[in-house]
Amino acid sequence: MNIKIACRAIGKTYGEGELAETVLRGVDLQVNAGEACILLGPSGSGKTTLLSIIGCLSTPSSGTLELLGKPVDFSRNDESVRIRRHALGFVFQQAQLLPFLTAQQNVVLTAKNTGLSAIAAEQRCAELFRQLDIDKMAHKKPGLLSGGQRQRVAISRALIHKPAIVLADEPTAALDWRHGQTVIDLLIEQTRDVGAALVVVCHDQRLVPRFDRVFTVDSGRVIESI
Amino acid sequence: MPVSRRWQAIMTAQSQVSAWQSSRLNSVWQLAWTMLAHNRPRLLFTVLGVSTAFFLASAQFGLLVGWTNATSALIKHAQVDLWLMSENTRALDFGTPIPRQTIYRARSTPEVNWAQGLLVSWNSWVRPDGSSISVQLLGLDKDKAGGPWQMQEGDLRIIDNPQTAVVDELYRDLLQVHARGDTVQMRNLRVIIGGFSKGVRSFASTPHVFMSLKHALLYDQRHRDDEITYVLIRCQPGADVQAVQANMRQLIKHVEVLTSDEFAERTARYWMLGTGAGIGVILTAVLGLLVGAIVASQTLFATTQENLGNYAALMAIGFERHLLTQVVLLQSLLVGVAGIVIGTAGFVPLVWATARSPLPIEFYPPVLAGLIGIFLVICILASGLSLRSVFRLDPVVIFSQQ
Repeated sequence: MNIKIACRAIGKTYGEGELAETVLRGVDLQVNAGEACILLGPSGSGKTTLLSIIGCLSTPSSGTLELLGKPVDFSRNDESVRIRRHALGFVFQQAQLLPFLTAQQNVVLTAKNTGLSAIAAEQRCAELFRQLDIDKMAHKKPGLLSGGQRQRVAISRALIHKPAIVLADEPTAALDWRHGQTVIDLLIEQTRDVGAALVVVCHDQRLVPRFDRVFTVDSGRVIESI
Repeated sequence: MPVSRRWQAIMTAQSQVSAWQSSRLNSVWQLAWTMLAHNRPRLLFTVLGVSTAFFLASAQFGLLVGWTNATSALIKHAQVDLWLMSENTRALDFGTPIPRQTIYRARSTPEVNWAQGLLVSWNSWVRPDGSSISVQLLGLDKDKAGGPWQMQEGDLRIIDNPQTAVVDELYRDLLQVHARGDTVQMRNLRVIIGGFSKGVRSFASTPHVFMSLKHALLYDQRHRDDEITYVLIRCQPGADVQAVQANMRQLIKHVEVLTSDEFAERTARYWMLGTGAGIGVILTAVLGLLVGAIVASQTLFATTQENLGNYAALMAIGFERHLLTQVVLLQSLLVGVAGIVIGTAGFVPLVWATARSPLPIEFYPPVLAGLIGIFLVICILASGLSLRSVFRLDPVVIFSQQ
């Protein structure tokens, strides 16, 4: 078994003293290579906080996080940045593409930052765009793309460097049901292709059957549904 | 692994790192430029604002250079080593009479090759229409040192003729003389225009009137027949000018002896700082720089604020903070360089257009280079607020920007 993500007793508390608010309480979670997981839960349940910790964007108040079999040292910012750059791929709710770059430039820029040469990045980008059926949109800026097309570009950006882990925060929130399904299917398919572990934060129960594992976050605790 | 293969592996790894660094620099450039160019009206406004500020500052400094040169041009072109004058002379224009015999005392100082007198005084020029203006009368000794260094019409030696003066062509209209042979009056005495010099400007709109020392004394009330204003001194070839200066100070009491550079600097300093004229110009130039800094700062800040979400996204996907600060710094430099190029494109024609005016704006490469340096530093400093935003940005905000 190839464990990509291992959360051990992760806790997260915001503020101190009387104002302290605990968002996560002793979260244990393990995701293996090639698995597609969905994190469900009502708004404010802590699922995005958990995703931000797994994404090395937030520091847990307690517990440890292991990515690719190694504990993450949150005190070292350079290490967090390196992990995010090489090991993780992100898909955000609103795609968060850079509006001043074309779809292709958005993806290639990310690839070059991970160390891919420009030629290799462009080739891989073209391949992803073909697979995601947005190859005709390569030279358009995000403002000229539909919500679904933008999310496909965001998926390409997340997968361009073949990361071991892909994290997606509400990737279908801005899309209608039909486009949402397509995006999730593509995300799962592409992630499996690169053998990555996928964690998707979502609150749309209809998408559950598409995932290998389902986790529900409630009142700061994570429960896996069988 | 054999050593050669290991060495090859190290070299390959190094070249990969270097290619990565170069690729990241390209990314910084791409991000900086495309982010700026995305909002074209704002970029245009910024570049216009910054270039106007640079133009204003360079024009003011050009004016300062022009004025400074105008105040000390006669001293610099006199081609003498030392100037002897009464004590506490503030500037060339405000000399006090000294005995003519000082010329002979200067000549008798060891290692002095040549010494002649110069009279500088104020006078009233009555124009043909009856109105009068102040002029600066310069009485030149035998070799015409301290006089105009180039002529447009006529020969300077004509001032050896009685009642004959040379004035500069720039002041033809002001003095209301247009051709050789025109006559006007100074101190109720006739003056005949014998020629026109070229490019000999004076400060404060008081044109120079060049006459021979002998004839100038007839027109001047401040100097007695046995008085002059300055003694101009040339040392023997190879002599140590400072040593001659020190020696002369010892031998001739109650006078000051300055080198040409010292006297030029004192004169320029008096006009620029002593009268406050230069301070006004410097203040305007500083205001220009300040306006440029504010415009650049505001726009860069607005651009950064507008793109904070994008910066957060970039940080979230693994771009280091220092790479993004480079983006902001590069943007400020791009705005600065564009402002300098356009500002200079406006400044150069201005230099050309004022070259033949009494108040020229002059181009002096070291001043312009210094101004460019200061301007770029100001642009970088102007990015301070933007950098602060990027430094304080927590990439986790990307999840709250939905």
